[in-house]
Order: sequence, then structure tokens, then C-alpha cells
Amino acid sequence: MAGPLISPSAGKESEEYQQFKFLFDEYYRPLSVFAKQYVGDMDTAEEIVQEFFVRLWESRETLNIKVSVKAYFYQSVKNACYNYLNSKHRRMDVDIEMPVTAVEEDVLDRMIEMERKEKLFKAIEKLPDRCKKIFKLSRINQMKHAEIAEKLNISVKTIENQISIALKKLMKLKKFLLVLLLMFLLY
Amino acid sequence: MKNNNDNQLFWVLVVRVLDGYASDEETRTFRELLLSDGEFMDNYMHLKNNWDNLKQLEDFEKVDLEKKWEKVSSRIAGSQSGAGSRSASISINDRKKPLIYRVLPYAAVVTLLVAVSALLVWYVTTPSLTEGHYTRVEAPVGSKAIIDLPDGSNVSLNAGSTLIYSDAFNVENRQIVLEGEAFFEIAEKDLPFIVTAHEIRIKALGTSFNLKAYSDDDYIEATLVTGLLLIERADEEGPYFEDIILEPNQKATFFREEERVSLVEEEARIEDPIVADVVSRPIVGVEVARKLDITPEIGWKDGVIFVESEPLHKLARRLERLYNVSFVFKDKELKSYRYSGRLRELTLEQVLQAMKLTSPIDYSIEDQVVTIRENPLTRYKYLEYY
Repeated sequence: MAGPLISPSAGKESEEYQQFKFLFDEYYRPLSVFAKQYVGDMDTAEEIVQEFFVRLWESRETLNIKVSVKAYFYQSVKNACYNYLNSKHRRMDVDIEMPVTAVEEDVLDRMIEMERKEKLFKAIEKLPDRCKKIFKLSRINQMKHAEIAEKLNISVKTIENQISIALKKLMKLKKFLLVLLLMFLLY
Repeated sequence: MKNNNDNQLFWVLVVRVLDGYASDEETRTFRELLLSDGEFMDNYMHLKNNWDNLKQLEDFEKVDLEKKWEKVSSRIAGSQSGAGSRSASISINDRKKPLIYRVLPYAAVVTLLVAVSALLVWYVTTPSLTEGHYTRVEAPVGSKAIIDLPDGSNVSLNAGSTLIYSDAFNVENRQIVLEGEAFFEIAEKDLPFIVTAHEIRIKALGTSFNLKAYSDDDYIEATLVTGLLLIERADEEGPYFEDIILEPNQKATFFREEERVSLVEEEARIEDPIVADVVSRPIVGVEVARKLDITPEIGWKDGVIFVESEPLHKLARRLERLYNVSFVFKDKELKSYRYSGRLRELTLEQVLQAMKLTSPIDYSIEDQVVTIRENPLTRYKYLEYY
């Protein structure tokens, strides 16, 4: 139960692999959107981020990170984007060993913005299916209510209802803590 | 006080207004609603501010995480085989390993959890708290409690602390809310163990840690003994602080915005320490202490109180919880006297007596109220030394 995380008896191969997958799951999406801000299109952005993760895995033993891991990820991806834009043949050249000792301010700002959006996105992903579908079409794909009504063969009224359910649930994100604390008083 | 109809109307109209479908009359009605209740206004402003953010989620939507993981994982497949033999020598406390190498293991644990469960943003999907059943365990002021949770985890609850979890605990999730101080020994399971304590949320697995989060303290402290902790904001709208990954023998302190306590509240706190604060106090600073001797942080569960250069008013709060008393200071400047030492299984009288012998104070106890005042007889003796 308690004890070092990596005990000699544990299955190490899969553990290390799982660890890597965790970082991928947490950061791949926001890093890709972040990279797009520099290179302009999503496909290139994603390729750079994939390259980054592959290099990260390969150099996992020798890597020496001097800033926070997360900040390092963002700064490295930004550097990779610049390398890409500056190279003549648009090569995907991710220099993972390039020492990142300081993180640029704009990178930090964007990192915070990406995190906020990623959390919002994850929150939307947790909405009930129908609610999520309608909400995404309306808010993310910017479809008009009438268009959604036609596409899904439902009434505009239903759409409005579902969107307001989604909003209420998303608002809970903000108020949840206070509600829980109030619980202490109700018992 | 707003009624239910207004509330329903608000949620119907807010969609039309934000999406630009509202008629002139609806817009007018909506405006009146906003002016009638501050909460409507708050909600509206919050949604309006996020409306454009939502548009920008298009790129997030496009990313096919599973597919891209297949792509990346197939590329790294070749280099994976060597990993096993090498990691045999990894110890989490090995400071010489590069950071990423140390961070990866921690992340792993959380991974399992995140991957296995769909509960990352649990509070969004959790039904409102009026539904379902909740178990509430309390260690009243003056006593401690030891709790065996349904999942096999073990919790020592310090005096004046409360733990709440729902029926879904160990079935759908392992989520707990803590008010006060507790020492956790988490059983290893696939479900993530998540503790929410005021402004912070902690994700843990196979871990033992101490969490101190009394609502009337100006700080929240998390101390890790073994394993891994990932600490993040519980309130997405609160001030930003970066997620913290805590390693063993490290302590994270979260400084909370100064409490503005009125006299009435101060009295209420003495009456019932838990009632006094319901208001969220934003985190205004974070500090991580490394390579720490953590004995003082966890001594309480074995009945030892470590006092390290602690001002009397802070120490008094601890003693209040421990001995079910309240402190009154006749001379305010006494509050800043600092004490150091170890208190092991002493009665309140013994503690106070020890303080009296080492500093110019005197005390009296009556009806669970300890009154501290300056001791004119010994004051001069100490003044010489100051």
C-alpha cells in the first residue's frame, strides 16, 4: 500500500509506458492547439507535437529539466515550431536536448490559456450525450439553432432546453466547492 | 429572493440572448431579471465571458487523441523493450536521476486512474448533492478518529475535522471532501483517490500523505510521505496556480487570502468552529518545501505536537481543537510570542503550565475558556532578555 511507487516487484515495462501515456493524454491536445498558433495549421502542429513526444520518450533517460515539466513541454514545442518555420525544407526537427532554462512569458500566458480551455473542453466531454452533441454543434461548430433542428430532426425548443442544461452543468464547475462546504452546515 | 419561475426563465432566456435569438421583449425581460438578482448577473457575466472561449474549442474538438496515441506509441514501440531492465534500479528518492525520469513514474499512477475512470472532471457529472446519500465522519473538537474506508484506505482524522463521501465511493469513484486535518494511507486501486479540501484538489494513488485544511487557518498544507500527489485548483475560477506534483518528503503550502472576520463571526467561531467559514478564500501563494523532515507534520496522529517557533495565536488554535476549549487573550501583544517544543500526551493544564514557566504569561480556565494574560510577576524577568 504505502511505499515507493516503483517497487522492484512491479511490472516495470508497462508502468513506464503508462507514465508516458499519462503525459500524452494530458498534454497532447493542448500542446497541439498551442503549436497551431505558431505554425498556422492543425496538421503540421500535431505532427510537431507527435515528434516532440517521440523524442521525449527516446531521451527520457538523459533529459535534465530545469523548469517545471509542463512549462518545459510548452517551451520545447514553441522552439520546435520556430525551428520548423526557419528551416528551408520545413523539417520536423525537434531538439529535445536544447536546454530550456527559462520560459518565455508569452509561452506561460498561452500555457495558462490552453489549460483553461482544455479543462473546459473536458467538462463539455462529460455532458450527457445528447446534450453534448447539441451543445457542441451550437457553440463549437457555430451552427444556427434552425440548422441543428433540421440536422437532428428535433425542435428548436428542445435545442434551447438542452443548451440551457449544458450551461447549468458547466456553471457548477464554478460553484461546486461552495456547495460542498455548505453541506457542513446542513447536517 | 428569487423564485423558481424566474430561475427557469433566466436559463431559457440566457441561451437566446447569448445566441442572439432573443426578441426585443425578451431582451427587456432578461435585463430586468439581471437587475433583480446579483446571482443572475454573476452567472450571465461568467457565461458571456466564456462564450468566445467556446468558439475557440474547435481545434480541441478536431484532435483524435486515441488515433494519435496509436501513431506515437507505434513509433516508440522499438525503444520500449530496453526499458524494463533499466528501471529495475529506479527509486523515487534517487535525486541523481534526471527530473523527467522521476516525474514519469508519478504521472503513471495518475494515468491509470485517469485512463480507467471517466471522472477527471467529476463534479460536472456528479448529481447535485441533494441527491444520493452521503456519509459524514467527524472527529469532534477534543478527539481524534481512525476510519477504515470501504476501499481499504485508512484515515486518521484530527480533532475538529470532518470527512464526507457519497454512496458512490469505491463503486463509481473514490472522492472525499475534507475539512480539517487528516492523514491518509491510500489503498491501491484503479479508481483515482481524490480529496477536495477548500480551494485545492488532490489526486493520489498508493500514497500516504497528510492534509491540513482547517477553514479558519490562513493556509492549507499537504505533506507527502510516500507515493505521488498531484495537486490542482478545486475552483477553476479561482486565481491560477500551476498544478503541483509532490514528491515524498515534500510539503506544499497554499496561502489563502486573508480572512476578513467581523466580531460577530469571531464569536461564532468560538461557538462552533465549523460554522464560521463557508466562504471560499482564494489561494494567493504557493510554496513547496523540499527534502523536509516531515515528522513534525505527522506527529499529531501519534499524539505528539511539534511546535516550531510558532506564534501563540496559531498554537492556541491547535490547542483549541485538541482540548475542546477556546482561548481569549487579555493582552493582544501576547499573541505574537513564539514557542518551540514537543508536547507529548500532556493535559491542557500541563501545557499551559509549561508555557507559564517559559514566558511571562498567566492563565485561567473556566467553562472551557482559557484566558491568557500578561504575568506582571514574571514580566520583568523576561523583559531583560528581550
